[in-house]
Amino acid sequence: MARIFKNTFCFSAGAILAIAGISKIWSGFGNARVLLIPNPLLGLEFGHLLIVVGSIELVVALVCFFSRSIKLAACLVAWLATSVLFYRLGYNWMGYHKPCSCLGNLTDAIHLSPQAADNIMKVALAYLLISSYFILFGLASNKVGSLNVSNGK
Amino acid sequence: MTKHFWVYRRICGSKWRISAAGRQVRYAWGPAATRAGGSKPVAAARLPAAEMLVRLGDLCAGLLRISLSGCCYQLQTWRNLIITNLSVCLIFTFLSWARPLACVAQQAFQADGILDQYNNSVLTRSYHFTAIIKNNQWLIRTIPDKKSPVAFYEDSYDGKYVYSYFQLSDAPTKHVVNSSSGDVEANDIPNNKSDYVVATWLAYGSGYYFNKIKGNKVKPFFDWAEPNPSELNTQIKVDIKRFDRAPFLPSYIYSKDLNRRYSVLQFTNFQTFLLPKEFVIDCFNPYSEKTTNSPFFSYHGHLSGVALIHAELSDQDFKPHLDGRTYTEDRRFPNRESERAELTYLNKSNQWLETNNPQLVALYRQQRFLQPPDSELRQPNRLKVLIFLAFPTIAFFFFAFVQRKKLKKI
Repeated sequence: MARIFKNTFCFSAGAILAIAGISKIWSGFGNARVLLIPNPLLGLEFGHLLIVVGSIELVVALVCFFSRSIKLAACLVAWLATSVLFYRLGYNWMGYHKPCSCLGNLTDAIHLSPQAADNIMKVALAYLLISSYFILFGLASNKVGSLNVSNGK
Repeated sequence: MTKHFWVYRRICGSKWRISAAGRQVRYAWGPAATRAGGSKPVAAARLPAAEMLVRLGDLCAGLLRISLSGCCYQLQTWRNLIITNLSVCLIFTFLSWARPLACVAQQAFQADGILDQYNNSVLTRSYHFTAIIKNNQWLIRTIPDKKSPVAFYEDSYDGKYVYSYFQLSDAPTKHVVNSSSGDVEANDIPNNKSDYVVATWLAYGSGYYFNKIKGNKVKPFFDWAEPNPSELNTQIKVDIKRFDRAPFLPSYIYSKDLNRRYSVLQFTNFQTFLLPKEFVIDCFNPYSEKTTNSPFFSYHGHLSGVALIHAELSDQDFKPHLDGRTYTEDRRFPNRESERAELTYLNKSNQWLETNNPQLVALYRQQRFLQPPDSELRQPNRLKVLIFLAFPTIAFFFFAFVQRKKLKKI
């Protein structure tokens, strides 16, 4: 049961990150004017930021798909999801309330409004955060349990 | 020769129509009206305006005659010949300039119609609009068709301030102090929260605003609900096309940066005016430059009626009428760019408070005293932001390091 859950997590997290990463890189190489605008939080141009973050997401997605270590995958997903959460919190802190362009031009291709895409990405972020931390805590408690058992022997 | 016939002959200018014109002026106007796309009664209603034009023409012809006869006395010298040519040029310049000048003082008119709101090409809401326009002043009343929490919206410009008002449809509960809400600010484009009024304003009330525009930069009327008060003075670049007849309304506006487009699909003649009959604002994905996909949001307007207003309209007629329980946001005071400079109060009268109202002045002074000016406010610190963003990464590395040490010990 736990193995099925772990496999499902790896596949779903990898798929979400792969879709988000590919769409970000694709958008980052586009020629929309918005890509030249500096990001209000980091000062980087949106285009550069999309390419950098998209690449990181792709790497984590590959780890999720091909790594044998569930701990590494969960750890990377938790780190990435927490960073994105902090990025969004930072946006709110600065009073910037525009929809996040997490899916870039993909929304245009699949006829999805930026607001709807933003909501979808919020749900995906919540899923990644909860599931990755759940697995990490589960692994930690298992390890403590197994260590206690081995010490008892 | 009757006055009407004289007007007709000046405009139509063909001899064979004289008898028809002499018999019945309204019918004689038929061909001219058909050419312009209007009806006979409409054409007959054009007579006063046409008379004005004829008088203007007579005046110019008189000026031309005087200048020519005056100059004919001394045509022997080259100097005088140059003066003659110059005066003729001046008169022709005046004639070309006089046409838009004749439209400066417009007669007030009222336009009624339907405004449909589409989300992803699905009709989500319909409104009935009434726009009253007089020169640079406008008042647009927008009423939702179906039952909604808002009974109606009124947005207006009285020549000095922009007003935005909405009346709640249900009676307020005990704990709610207001039954309506209003915004007033020193501006000349619709309030940035009133997206439902932008299309109607562009279609009927924006002529004077665009008369003032030189170049292709405009205030951010397309960027509704987005700009903070501090961004209201930021101008956006647009492509504009305008009708060549009064009230010189825009026929096409496109903002590349926002990927939003206003266009007139059909137009109609009314009196001396050329007005949009069907118009649309399309909002495309702002992160793309494409306008080929269906818009994710649009307003589609249809004109159902238009009429002249003969009654005298005062500045008060271009302010929404308050119900006596209006929560008001007031940005007419200096430093309005700052959100903190906005005054909020409950207006219990039926009139908008004047800026010199003692209570309002006292409230403004109190607010200024309580809140420091912008210059004393600290700007968001980029270093803090970076530390905040780097926190998860640092925390993860720290825990990984601690975990590894623990494992090594075991």
